[in-house]
Amino acid sequence: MNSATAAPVLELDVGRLRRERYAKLQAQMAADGLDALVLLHGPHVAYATDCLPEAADATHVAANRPVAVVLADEPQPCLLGGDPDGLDVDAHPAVWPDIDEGAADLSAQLDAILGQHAHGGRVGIDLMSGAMLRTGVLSSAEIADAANTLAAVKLHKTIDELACIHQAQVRTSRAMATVQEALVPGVRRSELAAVFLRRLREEGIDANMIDVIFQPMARRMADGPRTTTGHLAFPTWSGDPVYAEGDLIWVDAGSDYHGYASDFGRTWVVGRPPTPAEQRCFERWLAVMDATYAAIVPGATFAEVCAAATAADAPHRPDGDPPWMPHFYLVHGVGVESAEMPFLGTDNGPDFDAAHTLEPGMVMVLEPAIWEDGTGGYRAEEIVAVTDNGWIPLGGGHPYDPFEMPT
Amino acid sequence: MSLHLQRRTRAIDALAAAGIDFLVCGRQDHINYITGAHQLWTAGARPFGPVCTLNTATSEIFLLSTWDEGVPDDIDLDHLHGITWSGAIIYQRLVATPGIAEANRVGIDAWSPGMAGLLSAVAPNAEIVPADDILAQARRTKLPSEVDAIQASCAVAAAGAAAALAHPGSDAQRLAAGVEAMALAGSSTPAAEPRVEGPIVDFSSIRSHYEGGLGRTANGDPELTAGLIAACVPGATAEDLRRAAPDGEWLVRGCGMGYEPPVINTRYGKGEVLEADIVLSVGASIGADHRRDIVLVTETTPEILSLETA
Repeated sequence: MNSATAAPVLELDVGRLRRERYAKLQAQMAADGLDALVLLHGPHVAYATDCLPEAADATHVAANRPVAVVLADEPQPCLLGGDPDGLDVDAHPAVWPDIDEGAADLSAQLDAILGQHAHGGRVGIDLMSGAMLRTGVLSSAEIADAANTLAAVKLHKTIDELACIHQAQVRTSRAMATVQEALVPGVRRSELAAVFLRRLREEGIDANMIDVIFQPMARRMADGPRTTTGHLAFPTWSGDPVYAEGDLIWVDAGSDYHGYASDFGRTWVVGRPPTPAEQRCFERWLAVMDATYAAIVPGATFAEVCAAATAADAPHRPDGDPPWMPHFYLVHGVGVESAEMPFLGTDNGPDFDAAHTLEPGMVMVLEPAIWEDGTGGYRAEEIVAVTDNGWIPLGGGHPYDPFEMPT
Repeated sequence: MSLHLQRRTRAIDALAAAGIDFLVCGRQDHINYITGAHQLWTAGARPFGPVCTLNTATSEIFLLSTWDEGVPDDIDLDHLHGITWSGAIIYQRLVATPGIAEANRVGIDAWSPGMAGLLSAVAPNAEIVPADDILAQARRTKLPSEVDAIQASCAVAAAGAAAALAHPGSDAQRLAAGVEAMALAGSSTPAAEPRVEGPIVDFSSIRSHYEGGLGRTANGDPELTAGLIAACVPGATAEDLRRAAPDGEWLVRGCGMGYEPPVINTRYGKGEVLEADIVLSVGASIGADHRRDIVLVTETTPEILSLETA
């Protein structure tokens, strides 16, 4: 951890979180020339208002979604629906944007809130339902893409956003420690999921954001699912397998703390210590991580970080392929979304990676993956935040058991 | 014919009847309905993107999935598009999709400014129209196998509700026990957020794509929703349900691959008319009493699909 700086005490100050995000949002609206923002996408609504998205099925979230409206010159956002209790918002009645009658209500409320901006103003919006299209919501405004405005403000995290991600990761990791104890030959995936979901609640997390993954990996790619990349299939839907001694399990989970996502990744072996060949995969993964950590400094291009990771595993990779799964990345960002900018090593290609640089406040989930066909492989995830002179870990310190740290 | 192919036929027939040549959809429930694919469940509604395309003339489907795990055999590997992070690749794939360039009407199930620009570039002659209402209409009445799947999901939700009712601890502990029980009974994915507030419990599950649910109150009035359920018969309108509903909060809405139309409450539901084979979530709350069931509308008496476990 060459460039790591000591982690500051990360304690969430909710009032400061809201004030700083709202100020950033209004500044970005000015830069983008927007009179108003109309937000329906849950993580965007959360960013603007602190009304947290439901951890529910997409159909329920769409049916019940609150709407946030941010005006360029107003001191606090409007929230239509949701639970405004305790939030710093102007509360308005719920609208049901997914049904035609509800979209008509939304249209009327927007006319009242936006005033002249509803007609000829420049309004950023992130999505519309079919009902909103049929009803002609904002049909006489000049429409801009709110996703661009939100992407700009989300990219650099405030100290309180870092505190949320840290808490999400710490609590998810603690829940996973209990799950790992339950992983014995003969246990089913559903039993591990049950332990995990109960333990998350006990850790004070009520928003599990992905159906937790305990995927048994075929030791040879040819024995696994077919893929468009000719490489690994992960993370797949995998039913309810029963695990046997020696199974190689790739674990992935994400849950929200105050609207911010964790991303837990580990490799487990069922019922026995790793073989020497499995342990070697882990040590290759560690070497890639060390090289990646060392490359994380403000001003480094994404390409330089990817090159450092690739060079670290080059002695084992005569094909020159990078040490991460080709459908994913070496690094993705995390925040109110489980995957957001920065993305390093994606199919956006080398030009994209060369054109972008690390900046303080970016949060990076490192997830290289090592694969040795026939043996299996090692994959885990760690989260860091870029600082003025290096990086700090978020969460962190979760053991790599049953793999052993080399002495 | 397998269930997903029956559903796909319904969707294609409804889209074609509405003059839609080509469907671009991003909502997971629509994708599940049409493809039958089992994909990883994530909470929350995603921004709109072209996850699945359907040519209604040829039935050709392209699906965003890097692997064939969980994908029915009728969608070949060469009709899968791997996960991408690149807008340029999304554009190239759409341009290369047979039929889209010549389409006259392209249906979408949601809209975003970015995707609007993309679609008008790849389908320059097409009218881009919302098709979520057409798909909802196709999904509205349930096939017998869908009713079975909803009932199986209801059993999972019932296990959660029973565990939470029986647990002696705090609300948070009872909620944790309910979620744990649901996972053991067959679903680690909720439909709505589970609810435990003193005597009130309400659990719902998504199991193999279909929603089940159950809401109960310890020592609650078993007749709380009896009138409302009895009113769920073919021909019933929103006004009919309002007359039958208890004084308090209530909601009657479709239940299938998640939350569906019709949506009927004190404010909404104008023009809705119930028919046989619709499945509904029927719930009401008065003060500290809450009750919710999943109900199949039949030609005769409504059938309650949700099950209380002892």
